[in-house]
Amino acid sequence: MDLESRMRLERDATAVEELLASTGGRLEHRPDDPDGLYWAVIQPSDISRSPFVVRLLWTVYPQRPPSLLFATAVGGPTNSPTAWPVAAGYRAPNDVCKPFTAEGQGLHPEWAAGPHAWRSVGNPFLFVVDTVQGDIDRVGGERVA
Amino acid sequence: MPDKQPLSIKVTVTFAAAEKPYHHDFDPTEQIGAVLDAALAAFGITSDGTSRYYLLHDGAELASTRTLDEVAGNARALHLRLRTETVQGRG
Repeated sequence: MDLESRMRLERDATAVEELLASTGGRLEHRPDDPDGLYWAVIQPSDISRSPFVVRLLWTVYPQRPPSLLFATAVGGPTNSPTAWPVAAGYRAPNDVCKPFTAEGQGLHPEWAAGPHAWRSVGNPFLFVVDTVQGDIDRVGGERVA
Repeated sequence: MPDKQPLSIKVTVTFAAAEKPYHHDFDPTEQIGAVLDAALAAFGITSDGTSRYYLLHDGAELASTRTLDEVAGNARALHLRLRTETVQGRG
């Protein structure tokens, strides 16, 4: 990851930490994690539900969307369907086919322009995490069985 | 002579994917739907039916038919958050 991407990502991560903390979640970037790799622990608004762990890997920030997968734990594997929410477009355990992910944009080149184009303005890190939080809350924090 | 009551509610709408917040003074009887439309225009977002946009207050989604007065209560300023959901073009 280039220096500018890393610096902008670290700057924007502060607002992500605040957002997640406000809902009982947290953001982790462990010392051994490569640049651009973050783990967002998202607590559903239904607090009886257990939190989700989102693995976010940024490559060029903020110009490119992140790879976004769900893990069993911080640092854990992403191939367990039960780590994933039942939200529409979240195709456990393979990808999140939405315009805000690298996987979604890769599968749909037509999204590169128009309403689904990646928005690199503002705080895209915050935008992605906030959108995922909304998608999780919309399904009541329910997991794939 | 009694102080004049404020005639408007100062609304701030933040959107993560925007450079800066949207600020505007609205009539208290204005509906959330109108505030949403104004915020989308300010952020340069055209709603095309493939994405749904909505406003949050204290973490809860606001119905478009509610008025600012109902949401604000005694407050004369409101901080709302804009959030989006992709409703088509997935998968």
